[in-house]
Amino acid sequence: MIQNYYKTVHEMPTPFGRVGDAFEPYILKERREVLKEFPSDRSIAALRDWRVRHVLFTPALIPDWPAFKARVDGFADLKPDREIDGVVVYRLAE
Amino acid sequence: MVTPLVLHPASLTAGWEGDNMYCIRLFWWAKFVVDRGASPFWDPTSFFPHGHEVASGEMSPANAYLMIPVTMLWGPLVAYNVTLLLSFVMTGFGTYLWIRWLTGSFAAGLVAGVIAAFLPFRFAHLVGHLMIVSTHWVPFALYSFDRFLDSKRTRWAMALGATTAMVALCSWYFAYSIALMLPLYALVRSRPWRQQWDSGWWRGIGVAVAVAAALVLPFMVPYIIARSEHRLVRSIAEMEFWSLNFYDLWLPNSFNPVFNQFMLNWFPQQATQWVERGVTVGATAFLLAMIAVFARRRHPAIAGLIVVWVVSYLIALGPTLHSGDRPILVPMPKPAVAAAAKLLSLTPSLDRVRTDILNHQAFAIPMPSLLLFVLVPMTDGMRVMARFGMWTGIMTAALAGWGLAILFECADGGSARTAPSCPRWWRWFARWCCSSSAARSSPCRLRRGRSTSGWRRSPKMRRSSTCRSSRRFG
Repeated sequence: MIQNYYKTVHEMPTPFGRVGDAFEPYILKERREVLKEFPSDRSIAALRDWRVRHVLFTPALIPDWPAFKARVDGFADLKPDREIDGVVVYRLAE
Repeated sequence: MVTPLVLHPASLTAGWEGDNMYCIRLFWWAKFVVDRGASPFWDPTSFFPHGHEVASGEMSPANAYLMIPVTMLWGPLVAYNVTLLLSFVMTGFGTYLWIRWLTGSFAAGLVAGVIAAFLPFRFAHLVGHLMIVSTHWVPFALYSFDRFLDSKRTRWAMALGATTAMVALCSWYFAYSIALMLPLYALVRSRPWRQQWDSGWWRGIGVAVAVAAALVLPFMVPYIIARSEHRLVRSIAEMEFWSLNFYDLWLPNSFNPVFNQFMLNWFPQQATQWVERGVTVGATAFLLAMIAVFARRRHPAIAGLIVVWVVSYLIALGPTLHSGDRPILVPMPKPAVAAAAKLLSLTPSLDRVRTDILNHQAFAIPMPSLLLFVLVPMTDGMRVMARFGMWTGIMTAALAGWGLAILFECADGGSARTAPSCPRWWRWFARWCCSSSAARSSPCRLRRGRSTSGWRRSPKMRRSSTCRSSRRFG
């Protein structure tokens, strides 16, 4: 849900829409399905297709963040960029 | 009760991180549309590069677009918070105006306004459902209708159309509900029909419908298209899940610290799902409303309120009658089960109901929502019929205002014309209730000296708080 608020601040295109729509659009289901296996070659390729440049993680909401982070760090295309108020930002190489 | 919002509108908002974020985004989107000259119905920045149809959720244009100046100046969070606060002020003020006009009593208007503004229903949704908190145009629509009925003036018909449109443009739930409830109120309220339904009436209704349609249709078209493509449709099971128990309206408010633990122990579903199930109308408001019901139920205005109260309550219960958080099942003999199953097989959307009947060899008691689901377009796009509780709440507030006015009237003694139905014991009770300063600040005194559209009150009648309404509407 916080993505909705972020959008009002950065006003940039995002790979998701409004979170909380009464009727979920089909594309959300498709994209959610692809990202279920994140991090993986396929999901990172999909992010690139969607022209994503930054990937944001909220460690407090991710179970076993250190293990997950280790997996993310295993992908050379994803580079740690910065941390803002407990949100870890990775940059996706073009 | 809303002090934090008033003190910190730029950094705080009500509730946790949830639907409130969604609503804040609606304000940003309205600003974005105006700023960039974009279509309000297509968001190219979402699901990029695919884009996103905005009509898959609420747009609440009556909130988001009217607040564009605030959004542009101070941002969407402030606009959202200001709208939340305005909804309290406007709901209270609108109800006050309406009930004061109907009863002629300042105190009745004030009490009705306070009850309506601070309904537990509104507080339950305050945490994030801005669209459902936006009850503020409803009393204005009803007030406009009553003013139109009294004067048959075109400007009141236009006000009726505009305010009805605003109700609809706050939330599609309200659009649906006002399309049912306002005509119902108008029907009962406008008795005797032969006298009221003259050419001025029909012309005014035509104007109101035209104004409302002109404002609502542009926003409605994408939803109509989506529905024609069989999107925006829900199942009866979703609606059934949010059914209320028939007694939920009279349960204590789970926000009340005195009753909170009691509610958690005895009514855990209501206490934990209070956002959608918090429909209590409050004991004091209900008791005051009962005074109006028992004392003046034949009065056209009160009859209108009662009918809307009853119908909205029955619809709010959901598709089947519930008690103990489950449907009340009535056992049926096998031939009746077979007949019911055959009948239901004609309506594929009720497959779930049919299966339940066959499984339990019993049927749940159907409620009006089930009929609406089958017969009325758009009903199958709705999930929580409990949101009709808004109407029950506002009607309770209005009736409570009337009840207070009648109480004052009886305490005051009234006259044979204004208070003919006050039995002696009731006058004693009323005097006892009003024996404090409330009776001495009898509302009619505040109105003394004001002319009321060509009718002059006698000094005796001026003493009575409801004298004006008794003359005009009685």
